[in-house]
Amino acid sequence: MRDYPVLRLMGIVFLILTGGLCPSLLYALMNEPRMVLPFAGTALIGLSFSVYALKSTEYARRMRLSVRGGILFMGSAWFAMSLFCCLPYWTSGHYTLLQALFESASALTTTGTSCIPDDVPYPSSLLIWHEIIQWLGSMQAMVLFSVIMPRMGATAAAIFSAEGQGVSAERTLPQIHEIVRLLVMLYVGLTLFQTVCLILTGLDPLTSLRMAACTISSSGFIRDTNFLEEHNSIAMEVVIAFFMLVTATNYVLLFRLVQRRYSVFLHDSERKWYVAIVLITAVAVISNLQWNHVYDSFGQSVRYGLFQVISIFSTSGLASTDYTNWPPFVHMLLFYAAIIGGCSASTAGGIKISRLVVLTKICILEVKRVLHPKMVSSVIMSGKPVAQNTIIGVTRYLFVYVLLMLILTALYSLTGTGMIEALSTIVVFLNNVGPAYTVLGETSNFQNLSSFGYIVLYFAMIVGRIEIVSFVILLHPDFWKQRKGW
Amino acid sequence: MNIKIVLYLLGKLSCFLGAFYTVPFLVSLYYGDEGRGIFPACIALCVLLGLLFTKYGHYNRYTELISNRDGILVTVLVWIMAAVLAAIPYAVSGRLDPVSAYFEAMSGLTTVGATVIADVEVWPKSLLFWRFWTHWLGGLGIIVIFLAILPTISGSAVHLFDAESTGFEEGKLKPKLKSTAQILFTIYVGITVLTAVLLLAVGLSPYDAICHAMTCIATGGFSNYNSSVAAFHNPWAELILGLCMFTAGGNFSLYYNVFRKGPNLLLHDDEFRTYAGFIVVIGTLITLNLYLSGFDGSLLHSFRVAFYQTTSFTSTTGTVSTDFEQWPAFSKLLLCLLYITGGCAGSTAGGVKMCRIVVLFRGLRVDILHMLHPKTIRRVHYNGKVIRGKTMHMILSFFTIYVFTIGVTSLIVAATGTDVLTALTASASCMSSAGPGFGSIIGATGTYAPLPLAAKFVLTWNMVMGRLELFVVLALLNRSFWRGNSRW
Repeated sequence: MRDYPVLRLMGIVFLILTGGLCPSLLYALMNEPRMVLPFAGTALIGLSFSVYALKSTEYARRMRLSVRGGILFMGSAWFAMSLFCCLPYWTSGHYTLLQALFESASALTTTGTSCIPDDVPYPSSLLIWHEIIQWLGSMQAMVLFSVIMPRMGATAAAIFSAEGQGVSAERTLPQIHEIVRLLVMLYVGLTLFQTVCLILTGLDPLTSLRMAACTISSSGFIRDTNFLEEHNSIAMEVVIAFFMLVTATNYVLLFRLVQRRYSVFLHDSERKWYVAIVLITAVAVISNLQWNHVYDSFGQSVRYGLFQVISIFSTSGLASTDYTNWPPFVHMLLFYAAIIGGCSASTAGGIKISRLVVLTKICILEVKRVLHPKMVSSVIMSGKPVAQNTIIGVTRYLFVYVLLMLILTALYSLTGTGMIEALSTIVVFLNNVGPAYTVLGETSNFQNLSSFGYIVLYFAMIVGRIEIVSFVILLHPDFWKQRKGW
Repeated sequence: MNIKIVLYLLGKLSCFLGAFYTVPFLVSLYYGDEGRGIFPACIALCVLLGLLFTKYGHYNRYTELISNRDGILVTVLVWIMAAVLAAIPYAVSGRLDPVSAYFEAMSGLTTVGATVIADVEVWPKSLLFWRFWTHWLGGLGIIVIFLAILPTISGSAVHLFDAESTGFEEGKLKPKLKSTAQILFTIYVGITVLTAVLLLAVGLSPYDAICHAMTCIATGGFSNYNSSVAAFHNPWAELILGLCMFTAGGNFSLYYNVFRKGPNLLLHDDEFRTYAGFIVVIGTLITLNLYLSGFDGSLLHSFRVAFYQTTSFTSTTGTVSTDFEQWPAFSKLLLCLLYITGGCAGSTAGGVKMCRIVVLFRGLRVDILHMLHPKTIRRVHYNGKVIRGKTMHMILSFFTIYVFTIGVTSLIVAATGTDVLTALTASASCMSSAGPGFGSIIGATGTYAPLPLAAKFVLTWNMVMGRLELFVVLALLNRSFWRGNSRW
C-alpha cells in the first residue's frame, strides 16, 4: 500500500512534531537531565522517519492526494501521531502506556483533559511538550480540515461550499501550499495577538503565551484547573472568551477577512448562525442563572454564563468558575452546546455548526413538504444551494454520530459509571471539549480508570477529532485491499 | 380550512367514544364501584357533544373532498379531543388534576403507558379498566388507520397522514377498506383473546388476565399493580406476556400475509428479522452483563428478566418485570438505545421503526462503499425492492427530526425544573411510546406523578408527535398552514 502523497504528508507532519520537541529537549537539557533521554530518543525516531518519508517521496512532490489517500491519511494520522507523541511520556517511566497514550491523544485532539493524578510527578519538560503538541495538533487539524477534507465530499467543510471560499479540489498544488502557508500564519498570528492582549491584562509573558496556545488550539488544558478562578480578572476572561470565539470560527473565513474580502465574511451562513446560536444559548443560560438566583448580581451571571457558553461551544473547556452546582437546565444546554461544537474548518470539535444548520433547514423543509407534497426545494447556505449528495451525507453523519455516541457510552459504562456520567464523559471526549468538570454536572475522575476505560476514551477522542467518517471507513475490509483504479 | 368537515368528523369521534364508554360502565356495574356514576355521565356528555358537532358540521362523502390541510388538522384534533374526553373519568373522580388526567388519557390512547397514578392499587376497578380500554382502542385505531384506511384512500382525498411518511407503501391488503379493517380487527382481537386465555391458564385472575392482555397487544404499558408485571411473580405469565409483546411489535399486515402465504414470509422479511435479531442480541448482552456483574443471581434469572425487559422496550410496551433501575448502567443504556429504534412499522409500537433502521444501516454501508469505490453503482435493497433516493432522503430526514425533537423537548422539560436524566428519558420514552424512563423519579418503579404540570403537558405533545410520526404535528407549526389560502 504505497501511497506516496500520503507518506509525504506523514513525513511533513512528523517533521513538524519532531521540531516541536526542541523546546522540551532544550528545557530538559537545562533543568531535567532525566528527561533528556526520552526526548532525544523520540526526536531521533521522529527525525529518521520523516527524513525517510520525505526523501523516498521526493518525486511525489507534484502528486496530488487522492480521495483514498485523504481518507487513509485522516484515518491513520492521528493514531500514528498519538503513538509518536506518547513516547516521551511512556519512556519517562512515570506513567503506564495507556496513561501516556491517553495524555498524548488528549493533547493532540485538543481535548485537554489530563489523566495524571496530582501526586504523580509531571516534569515541566513534559508539560511544555503537552502544550506544544496541543498547539501543533490543533493547527494541523484546522489546516487539514480546510484543505484536504473538502475533497472527500460530505464533510462539514464541504458544506460551506468550499468552492465559494476558494479552497477546492480544482486548485493546483502550489495554490494549496500557499493557502496552507497563509492559514498557518493566521493561526500563529492569532496566538501572538492573544499573547499580547493577555500581557496587557497583567499576566506575565510566558504564562500569556501558554494561555494563548491553550485557547487558540481550543484545548483548554491548564495544569492548574482553578487558574482563572484564582486570578479573578474580568479583563483576562474577556480576552480569552473573545479568542475562544474567534478560534471556533472558520479559519478560511477569517483568512478572507484578513484579505479584506469583507462580503464573504459577512454573508457566510455558518458564521451568522454560529453567532446567533451562541448568543441565544448565552441568553438562555444567563436567564436561567438569574431565575435560580445562582449569583448575586446580574453582572456575575453574564460574566460566568457567557464565558462558559463560549467555552463549551468552542470545545475549549476552560472554566472560569465551578459550574457543578448550576441548575440542570443550564447543564443540558451546555451538553447540547458541546455536541454542536464550533464552525467547520476551525479548531473546535462537535458536529459543527454548518451541519447543524443544514440539518435544521432540512427538518424545516421536510415539515413544509407535508403541506406541499410536490414542492421543489433546496437547502441554501451562504446564498448557494447545497448539493443533494452533501445533504444525504450530513443526515447520515448525524445517524453515525448518534449511534457511535450511544455505543461508546454503553461501552464506557462497563467501567462502572452511572448512565448520565457515562453519557457526559463520552460527549466531552467525542467532541474534544474536556474541562476538568464534565458537562452534565458531575465531576469525573479520569485519573484511575481501568485500561478498558482509557482505551474507550482514547478512541472516542481521536474518532471525534477526525469526524468519525474516516474511522468508519477504515473498518471496512475493502479499504485494505489493493485495488486498481485508485 | 373547512371547519364544517372538521366538526363533523370530531362529532363522529365523540359518538364513538360515547359508545366505547359503555364497556367500562358494564365493568363498573359488575364490581359495583364508583364508576357507576361516572361513566353514564361520560356517555351522555360524549353523545351530546357528538350530536352537537355533527349537526353543525357537514361532510358529504360523495361530493366533498377533504383537503390536505383539513386532514392534518383533523388527525391532530382527533387525538387531542379523544384524550380530553377520555380524561373525564379521571378528573371527575377527583383523583387526578385536569392536566394529569389529560396526561393519563393521552398516555392510554397513544399506547405510551406512562402513568401519573402514584398508587394504582387503590383505584376502583372500573376506572383502571378504562385505562386499559383506552390502550386497546388506541392500539386498534392505530393499526386500522395505518393499514386499512390510508392505503385504501387514493386520489386527492384524505391524506390523514401520508402512509409514505414511513417511506414504504403498506400495500393494500384487500381492495375494500371494510375487508381490510375486518381482517386486522380479527387478528388483533384474536391475539388478545389468546393471550388472555393463556394467562388465565397460568393462574391470573380474569380481570388481570384481560387487562394485561390488552396492554400488551396494544404495546401500551399500564398495569393495575404498582410494580407492574413483577407483582405476579409468575414466570409463565411473563413468558406469555413476552410473546404477546413480541407479536404486538411486529407488522400486522405481514401477519395477514403470513396467514395467507405461509410462515416463510416471516423469515424473509427484513424488518421482522432485524426486529427479532435486535431482541436476541440486546437480550443476550444484557443477560451477560447482569450475570457477570453478579447482579441478578442465576444465569436463568438474568436471562428471564433481561429478555422480558428487552422485548418490552423493543416493542415499546413498557411493562416491567423487575426494578431495572438497579441494573448496571450498561444494560440501562442498551435499553435507552431501544427508545430510538422502536418496533416494526404497521404495529402499535413507536420509535423510528425497524424498517427505517434497516434502511439507514444499509444506506450507510452503501455510502462507505461509494467512498471507497467512487465509480461503483450500488443500490439499497429492502425486502427485495430498491430504495429510491427520495425515500432514503425521507427516512434520513425522519431520523433527524426525531432526534432533534427529542433534544428540543428534553430541553423544555428540563427548563420546567426536572433533572437531566429524567428530562432526557421522559421525552425519549414518551416519543417512542415506551413508557417508563430512568432515574429516581420515572424509573422502573416510579411514576410521572411528581413532574411539574408544564412538563406533563409538554410530554403529552411528545406522545402525540411520536404516535403520528412527527411530521403531521410539526406541520401545524408552519405559518402557511394557518393562512387562508384558496389553493388549498
